[in-house]
Amino acid sequence: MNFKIIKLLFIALMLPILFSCSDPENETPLVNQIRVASQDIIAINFPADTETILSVDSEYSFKLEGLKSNGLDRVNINQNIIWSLSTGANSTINQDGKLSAAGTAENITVTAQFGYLTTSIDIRISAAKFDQVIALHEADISIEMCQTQNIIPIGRYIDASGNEEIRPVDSTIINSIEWNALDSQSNPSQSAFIKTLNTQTSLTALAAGDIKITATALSLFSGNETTSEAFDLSIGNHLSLLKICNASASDLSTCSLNTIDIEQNNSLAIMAVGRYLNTDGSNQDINITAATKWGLTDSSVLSLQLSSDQQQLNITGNIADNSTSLSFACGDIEQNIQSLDVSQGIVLDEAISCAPGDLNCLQGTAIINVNALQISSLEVKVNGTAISHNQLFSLSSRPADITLQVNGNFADNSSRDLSNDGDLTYQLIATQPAVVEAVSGSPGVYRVLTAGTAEIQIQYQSSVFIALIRIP
Amino acid sequence: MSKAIKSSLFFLFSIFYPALLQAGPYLSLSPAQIEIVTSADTGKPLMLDLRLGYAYQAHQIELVAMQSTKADSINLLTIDAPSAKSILYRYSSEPYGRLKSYLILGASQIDIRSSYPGSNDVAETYSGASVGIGFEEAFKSIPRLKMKFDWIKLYKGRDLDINTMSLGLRYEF
Repeated sequence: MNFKIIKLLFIALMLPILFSCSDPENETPLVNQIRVASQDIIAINFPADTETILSVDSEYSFKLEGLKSNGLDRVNINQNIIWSLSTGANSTINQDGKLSAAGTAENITVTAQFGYLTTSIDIRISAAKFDQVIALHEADISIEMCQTQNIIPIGRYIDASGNEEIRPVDSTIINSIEWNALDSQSNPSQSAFIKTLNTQTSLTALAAGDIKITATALSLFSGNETTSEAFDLSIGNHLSLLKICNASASDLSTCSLNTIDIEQNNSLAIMAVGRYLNTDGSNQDINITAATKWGLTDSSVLSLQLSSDQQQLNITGNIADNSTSLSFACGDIEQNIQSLDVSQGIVLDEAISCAPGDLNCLQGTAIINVNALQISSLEVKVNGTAISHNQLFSLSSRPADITLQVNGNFADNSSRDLSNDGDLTYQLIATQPAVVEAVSGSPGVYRVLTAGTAEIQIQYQSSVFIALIRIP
Repeated sequence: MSKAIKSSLFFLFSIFYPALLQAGPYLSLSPAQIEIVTSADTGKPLMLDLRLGYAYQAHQIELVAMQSTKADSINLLTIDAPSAKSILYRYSSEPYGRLKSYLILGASQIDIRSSYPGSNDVAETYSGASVGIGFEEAFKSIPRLKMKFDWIKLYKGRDLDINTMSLGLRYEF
């Protein structure tokens, strides 16, 4: 029998079967179950802050979150979601969950399917247009100095018939609002600021007292820039303790830093922790780095920089073998900060202080010592050839001069050339007769006098390298 | 048994019948890991793979029966392959060497069961053409006994692939 023909016939038969036997409908239940299980999810829902009233011709990106199987944790679901709208909707939604609202008002249902799990939410597409902010937050605000709190500003929307809608300011407007804090005389105040990041608005209180907040935004109803009425805000002071801690500290109630040692060119991340007295008499320790005011007695010794999320302060040592005082405060300080954009954090190149007797200001200080970067080893080259510590190195011919090149390896895994570093010392061990002599004014360079073994001790900080060089 | 498997079986036996008269039968036994592959994750239950076959020169034909030995878990999902059946044709380009490689073609049917809290249990059977590769090496002391490794795609679907990897022994009578 000709098996080549058999083989070809067999392959010809099997290949069409290979691509024709799958049954996608059978696959769906199993694939859906694996998809849900892979994220350890047992239920899905729209996040609580999902907007349910959207303006006509606007866009909104829906998000979906899943409840983990422990029944507690929630995670965002970003992939493999099937988005759909109710039948007859004029609005559209893409498979990234981005809804493009129709140009006319309508009520629609948005449905998200993840694996075998499905959830829906009713959405109203409203023809009412944003007019102005009418409330700072959807509920009463209670905030203490140096605390930050998320807020949901409330806006007034008006349709063509003059009907008003009062609802949270939607994501298309929220980023365009300009917020201003004013004191009791309606002058700009540095006691608080409001900023919006990724459609989330937050209020940060910097000092205790009564202030007013206004919101200015373009009214889509009137076409004019409109400033809201001034919203009264009372910032409390139940701060009982202010301290600094290592930013990695997990127990904020017990952490503390009074003296900090850092090496030159290295950084340390710290945070400010405020202890607040709750109404029930208990204490609460909170990271208040963003609202804390920071200052340095000598800013040449150290540099300070807030992290991008303002949750930690990075301290970098500039000048070795120096110390300076880091001062920090919460509340009204004596130094003038009127020209600063306080929303970027308050870090001054001078020591900061509270006015004596000012009960609405707490301060603290810490001593920061900048130490030289610790060396871990020395590497030495003789006329370009690497040698080992305390091991005889023989030159093949007698040179006129010997030049030592010294490289230092440091504890932070950096390395640099130390040959011209003032802290590097060379000590020539005397021999009879003298084999080499130091060249005046050129550290590390030795003139060869005669044949023999030269011993030179090289020291940087506590690290010692002995160079033994045989000269023919 | 699906139409595809029945047709393949009929076709293979009708072609190989004369050759089988001269062929040596063999038996192989291997633990096998099943890979149930989706874009989200992969389940890997274990099975016992038993094969009865006939070899003639470069050609082999074998019947495969697999039985579950251990289910797999993906978080709280339990996934298992209770049983699987295949008929496979194997072709080796070097039939007389100690070390052989095989092209494997055939048809398979595999049962999959899964359960996850809050959803209905899934029990499905997937049938389709199979393709794979295999390697085997004969023991020097017992040339009839071979150590073999196979990788076979048992099922290829739109959103789901099922593969098997097995490492075991084959004995030629």
